[in-house]
Amino acid sequence: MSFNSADFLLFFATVVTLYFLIPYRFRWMLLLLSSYYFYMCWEPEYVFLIIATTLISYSTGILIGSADTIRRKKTYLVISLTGNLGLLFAFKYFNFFNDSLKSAFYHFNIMYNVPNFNVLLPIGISFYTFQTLSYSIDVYRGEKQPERHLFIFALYVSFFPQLVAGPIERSTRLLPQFFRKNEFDIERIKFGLQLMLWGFFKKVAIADRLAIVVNQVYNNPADYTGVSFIIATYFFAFQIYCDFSGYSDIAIGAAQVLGYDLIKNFNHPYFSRSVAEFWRRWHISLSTWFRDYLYLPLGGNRVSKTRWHINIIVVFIISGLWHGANWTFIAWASLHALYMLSSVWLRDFRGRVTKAIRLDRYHNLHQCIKAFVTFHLVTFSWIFFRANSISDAAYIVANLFTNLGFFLRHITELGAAKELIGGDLGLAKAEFVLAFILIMLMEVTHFVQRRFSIRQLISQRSIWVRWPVYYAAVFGTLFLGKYGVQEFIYFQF
Amino acid sequence: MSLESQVRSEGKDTLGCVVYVSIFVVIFSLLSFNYAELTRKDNRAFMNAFREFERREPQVLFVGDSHALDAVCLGELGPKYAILSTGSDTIRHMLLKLDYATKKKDGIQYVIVPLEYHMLSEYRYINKSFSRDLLYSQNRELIKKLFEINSFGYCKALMGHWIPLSAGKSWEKYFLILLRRLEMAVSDAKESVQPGLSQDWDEVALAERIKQASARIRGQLQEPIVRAEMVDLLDTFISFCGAKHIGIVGIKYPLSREYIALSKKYDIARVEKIYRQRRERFMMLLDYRELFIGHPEYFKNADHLGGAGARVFTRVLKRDIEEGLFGKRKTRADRTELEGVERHGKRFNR
Repeated sequence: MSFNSADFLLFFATVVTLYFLIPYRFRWMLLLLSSYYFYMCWEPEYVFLIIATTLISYSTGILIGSADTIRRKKTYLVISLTGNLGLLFAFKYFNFFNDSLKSAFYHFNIMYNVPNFNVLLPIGISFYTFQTLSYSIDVYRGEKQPERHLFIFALYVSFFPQLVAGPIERSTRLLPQFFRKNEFDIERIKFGLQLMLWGFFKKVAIADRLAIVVNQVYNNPADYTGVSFIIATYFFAFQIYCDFSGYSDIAIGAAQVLGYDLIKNFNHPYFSRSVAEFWRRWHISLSTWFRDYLYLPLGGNRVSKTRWHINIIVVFIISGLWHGANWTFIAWASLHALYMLSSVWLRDFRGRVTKAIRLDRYHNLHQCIKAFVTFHLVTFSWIFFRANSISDAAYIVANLFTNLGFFLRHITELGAAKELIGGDLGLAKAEFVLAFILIMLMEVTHFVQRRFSIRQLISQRSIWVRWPVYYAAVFGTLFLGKYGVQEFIYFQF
Repeated sequence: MSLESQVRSEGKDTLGCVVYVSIFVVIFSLLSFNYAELTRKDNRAFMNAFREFERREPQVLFVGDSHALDAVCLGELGPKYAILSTGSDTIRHMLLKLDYATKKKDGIQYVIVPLEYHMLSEYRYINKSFSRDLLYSQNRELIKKLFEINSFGYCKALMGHWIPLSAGKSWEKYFLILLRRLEMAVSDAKESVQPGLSQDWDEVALAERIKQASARIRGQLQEPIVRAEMVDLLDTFISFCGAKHIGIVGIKYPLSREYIALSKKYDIARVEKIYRQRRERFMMLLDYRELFIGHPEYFKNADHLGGAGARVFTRVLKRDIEEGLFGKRKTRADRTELEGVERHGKRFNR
């Protein structure tokens, strides 16, 4: 049951109605049952994986909490990490490593014939595994008391708004909220629904429209030339942002309607002025997870320079692997590690150049240039993220500027864009223009939202302004949406 | 806040919600009405084939997708033939139509089905839409089985049938209809027509023909080129015909030279194997793929015949069917008229 389906709307309306009708003491039961039902709509049998993860983390959490020595605590933590990561490895990474080993052995003429697992990737496994890992580590560090209520803990692991694609919640934030009594608050519900609507808009009107072009080009790279790759790559940058941030908005909005606060997952990442800032604004719940549970325990930047650089590389490569068992993700993450390291290495040089050309005197222009460069570095890296294989990515990179001169020379004849671009990109001309307009609209909205909340602004207006805006937003989203079979990209992770 | 003011505030909120939802329903109804008006013509055109079917007493029924629809002229066939083909139809839709047809008419003896490369591919598998099919079929159980839905899914589809804008796809279609109208209004109507669509295939430049054929094939023959579910559906179709004592004729419709050449890059042997394995279940297998290979003027695009091509093809097809199923011999007129094209055609009787 995807968020962008009528089934979800019906499911959500039913859950919300029941939630506020039943007595407070039964609410957790309703949420737990509906969360399990929500998950079982994909692959019912994989609910046992969530149950296993829940039981491992719950029992080890209790054991860690009651252990009297550090050594014992550590042993229970290792059991928890091994159990959870073992499931993740078996279901997500085994086939990837097995295939990689096969290829490696084949090079040396060594027989290696371990068969692959014939399993589907359980939806959201990386998300809920990381959520339970953070719980175990928090309990081990003493930052969180172990949760004694098994079913509330199970709800923390499986809470349906953020179950399949995050945000990855910390136990210290989310668990206490399940003990809070949430009253029916119309303002909060309205805000939640507005956020959900904005998420739907980003998903169905922008991401799924751009996906048509992106899929067409990236699934058949040999049929296209440079300009098509450039357009598809820009489109993918916005597609993945709208897809994932749209999902997060729906998740946060849905939780808000029910009275729960989830962590903000995106903060206008394409306005970032450096790659490091980008990672503070993109998929915040994952970035902070890696910071708190991997980067800092490795020593962060309070170690020798070489070790620090190694830490950066390790964190990025593991983050790439988290996204998927494919070399393309590792290449994408390595590229980001390279950006980060280059940024460190070239800091002085950049400072000198800025001073030499007196760019530091024009602060706003300097910031714009930085944002422009960062956006393009990030967009370039998306090629590796989206390409179906490393060879496809290499082909696209190698042909990114093929025929670009021809295109630029004939840009005035853009009416015949189809021929100039070098193939049918899958969208009619009017839809193409609409896609650009929608991207601009979204970015302008983001820009305005950096200064003040549009939701707040609308809610302060009279009903004659407010309601027409709401109706226009709802019907506009319905009207401009694409309702194919396009799943959320991050479901696969 | 005192209890009284709290109650008042809650009452106001509830009233606000009711008014908001009521206005929403009114706007929704108006848009639904407008959408129904805009699509009425489409539905009427779709149902024309069924009305024509009901007027006839057919013995031979054609089912299939746009290939069958464009290639066979009902006017060239006699009263014992009927066509229930619609663009994008899959084996699911064909079976549903055959079920409808056998319930309406007792005399159907043969059904003619397309056996083309894309019939078993992902391209056809993903088409699980049956909203229009609810206009003629009430066979709930068969629909549920063919389209892999449960009772809830069926209810949703019914809701989409009666309240069209309750389905997301209808909004998409609504948008496209209005966008097209807007395009027509702001620009010359001819401009909005895609290049190549208004011309005969032979008038399109070779490079453009190759590009169009390539795009078409890429869509149709995408992997998996054979879906196990589609093969199961084909077997279900064959079993259904066996149970109703209906003979099946498999047919491969004419294709352009470009389409044939480019399709060889794909794993079409896997599709052919599936059909070959079931050849005993067919009364006849007719292969006309290369019939018009030297006649691009007969095509309107890479894999669809135009009006002139369809007329010639229907005559060839009718002659072969009459000869194969009803034992009629070729007349002199047939021989003279169809001699030119017959040289290119191949025919495989079982």
